[in-house]
Amino acid sequence: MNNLKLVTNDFSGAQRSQKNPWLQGIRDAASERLRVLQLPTRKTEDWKYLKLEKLLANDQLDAQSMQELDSKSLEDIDELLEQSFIDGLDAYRLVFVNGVFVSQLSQHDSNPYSVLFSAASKAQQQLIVDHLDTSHNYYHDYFSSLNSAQLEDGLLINIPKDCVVDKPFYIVNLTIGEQPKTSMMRLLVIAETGSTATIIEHEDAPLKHTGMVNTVIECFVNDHAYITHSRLQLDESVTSICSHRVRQSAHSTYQQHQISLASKLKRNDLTVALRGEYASADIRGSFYGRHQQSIDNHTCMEHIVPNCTSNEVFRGLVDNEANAVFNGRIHIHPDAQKTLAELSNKNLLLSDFATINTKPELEIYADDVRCSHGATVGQIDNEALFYLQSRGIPKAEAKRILSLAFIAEIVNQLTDDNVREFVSQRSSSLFTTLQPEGAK
Amino acid sequence: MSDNTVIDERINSKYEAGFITDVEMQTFDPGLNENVIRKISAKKNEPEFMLEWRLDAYRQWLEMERPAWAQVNYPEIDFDSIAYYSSPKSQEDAPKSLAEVDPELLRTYEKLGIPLHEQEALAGVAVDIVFDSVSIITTFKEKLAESGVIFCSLSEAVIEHPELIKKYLGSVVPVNDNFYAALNCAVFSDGSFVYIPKGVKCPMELSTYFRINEMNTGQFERTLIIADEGSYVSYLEGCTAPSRDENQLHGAVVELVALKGAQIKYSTVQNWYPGDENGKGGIYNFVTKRGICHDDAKVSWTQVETGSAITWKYPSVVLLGDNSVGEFYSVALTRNAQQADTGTKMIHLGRNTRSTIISKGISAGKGSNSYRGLVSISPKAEGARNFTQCDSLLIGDKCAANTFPYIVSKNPSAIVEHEATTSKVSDDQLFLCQQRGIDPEKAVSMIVNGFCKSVFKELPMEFAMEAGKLLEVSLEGSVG
Repeated sequence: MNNLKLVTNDFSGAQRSQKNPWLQGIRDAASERLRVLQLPTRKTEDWKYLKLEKLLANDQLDAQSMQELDSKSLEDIDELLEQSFIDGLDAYRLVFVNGVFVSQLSQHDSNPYSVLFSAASKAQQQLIVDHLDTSHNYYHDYFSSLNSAQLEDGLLINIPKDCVVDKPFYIVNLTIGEQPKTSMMRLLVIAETGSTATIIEHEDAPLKHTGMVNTVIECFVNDHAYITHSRLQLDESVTSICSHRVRQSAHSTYQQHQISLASKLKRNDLTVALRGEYASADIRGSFYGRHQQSIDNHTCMEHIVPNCTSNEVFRGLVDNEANAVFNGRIHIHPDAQKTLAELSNKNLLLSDFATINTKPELEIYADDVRCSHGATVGQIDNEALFYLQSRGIPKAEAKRILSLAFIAEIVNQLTDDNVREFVSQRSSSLFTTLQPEGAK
Repeated sequence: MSDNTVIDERINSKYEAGFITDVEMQTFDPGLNENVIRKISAKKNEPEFMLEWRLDAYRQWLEMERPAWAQVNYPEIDFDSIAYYSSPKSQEDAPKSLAEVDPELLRTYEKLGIPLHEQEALAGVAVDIVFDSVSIITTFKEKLAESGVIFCSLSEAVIEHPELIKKYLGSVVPVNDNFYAALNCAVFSDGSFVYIPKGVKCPMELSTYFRINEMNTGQFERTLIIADEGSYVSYLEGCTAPSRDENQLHGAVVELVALKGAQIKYSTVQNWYPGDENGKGGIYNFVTKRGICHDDAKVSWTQVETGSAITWKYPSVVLLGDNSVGEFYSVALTRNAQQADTGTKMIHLGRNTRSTIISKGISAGKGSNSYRGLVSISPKAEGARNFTQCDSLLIGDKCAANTFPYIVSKNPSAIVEHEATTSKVSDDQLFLCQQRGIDPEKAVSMIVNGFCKSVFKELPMEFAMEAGKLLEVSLEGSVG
């Protein structure tokens, strides 16, 4: 806990590397913010359900100096790593290990759209500096500022005007290493007017190694652009904190599917700012927590201009002693008339000791809008369970089937067949290890 | 299709219950310290234990910070500029019957439409009138006494029934519960006390009309209702206040204790001065209301909130016993610059506890209306059930409606449902009514009344009429 404090207050930047000096302005501004910002505590409204200090007690918040990876040690586990990628997916594969790009694992020949910050051209550098830390709600975000203050590298995906990208971007971040690692991920997506692209992000820890990832994703979806974004968090060992901010211009569409497994701590902050008329956002997520895990999803839909649409569906399964938090906020600014906003969060509690905290918020400052939100917390339907049992399916198996069916609504909407197949397999294998809970 | 002149006219309509009664008052100098508390206590001939209790609350209050989380804006309150005690002078030689009551006072009530002398004959309602801070007269006392019901002012109860006060005062809302509750504990002026004995169904609806009068007097009411095993009581609270420029602070505490199998129904109509169209003046209403349910008991809150510049109020139910039931029905209306942050807490502790929350918020003009609620299911609350519905109706493009429902569930057998919608009075509905020859003003009133119907039907008969009328007066024609 003491070293946490140390990190929070000492950001002179002196001990930080001076890599990519053109990013210095971003780092300095973030360090400046950190002088005021504090590590959130249980008194911080947005973090009140997590014992953050306890959860992070063994993690280090500043990234370890990112040494070049030993290519030899990677070769040893090469085969295993290959298995952890999504099978049969034809994509621009960009692989990061502990936040560092590894080109020998990546497949991105003939990919003119993405570039590492460190390899950016002068024009791209300007583009990056113009966009980083400019989106809604960045200012008071502690972890996002921490990421910016230590920013050395990142990935820029820039899709040119009216371009339809032929293959999805498949971005993998693996956490590997016996020693717990702390890594920073930074992703900047700029979709120019009329462009279309699919992004698949995949966080994993194939060897079940522990560590921590602090991710910041910023998406700028310009007029008429169409972005489909899948986020898969499929490890149960890595502490992950992610600030994800989307800015949409007129007539743009942003679609997100998020599949998350909880770990010691998984926190996802998603802010979608609808800044152009007729923009539409569609967010779907599911999460599953068990043992003593924690998962916390905060989403915020900022309806700033009239005539936008947002739709959000989250489903949660919580087992054992896990703690899940969902906070969905819809904020309709004055003058954002004709807004259509919907939010639904449904949760199943599978054990006597699991906890779910859900809070669907509405904040509305315009009158001609249609908003609705709903949240439910319940249990597996006894009649459905009985139905399956009466057909000879053992109780534990019946529970597994019903749990999977509960999140199937989200999983089935993954657009890519290979991704969907991969996720279904992973989740059903996960549930087979479910203990026949409630045997008593 | 709007008829803006009608809208403006109605939105700007003056507060109709705004007038000042000229009765000689006895008021302490503004300011708060231990001496003031000693003086209040002495004034009321309180026993030693009450004084100690007040002083303890005051010391704890000094350590506390005022809450800032509510979605309301107001200038900081200077607690030293408030006079903490005020009572009509004529109290010194207390009236024995209606005839002895200051005729000026009686006229006040008449203006508000509560003719006391008629009331006796009328609905059979016993009224314990609180004029500013001291109960002046209690009607129907004998009739209640026959069935063993104790209905008196709290200061009387402190002297007459110290054992009940010692046992229950502060048992539901602890002294240090929150900033305003602690302040209330220290300086509470008076209030109502009700005790319903075992198995008794209270023969009539009990009612208190509150009235804030004297300038700069914070009114710190305190109500304590104890329903013993298997009893039933329905309690009505209604308020209006004269118009003032100075902001007036009201920090009431209401405690309900429903013992095994008892039922308490608590209804409120609140129509205090809301301030002018810019929010100047008006009452600050910071209220702590909470009920506790033992086995098989039921507490039901119904409220219609149309007044006050700021409302900060969360009538809650602690469902301690098995099979207990909590209900909350609310209509909150804000217009002009009124702000309301209101809602409820349902704390499920016992098995098979049930709660229902129906909240209807209406915002017009620059009004801001927030629903803030907590449904908490503890690990032991097997089979708990909650249903929450909070709907908002927006009238005009400058108003705000917010919803902050907290749901914490720690038991897998519990079922919690939350639903919320926000909409405006639909053009289609208005058109339909107009097409059938109903003028827009009436049509809106009909639609709004329909919107609130599920809450109004929970109110006792007399109150339901009053509430409907109140809403009509406040709203008629605000939409066109």
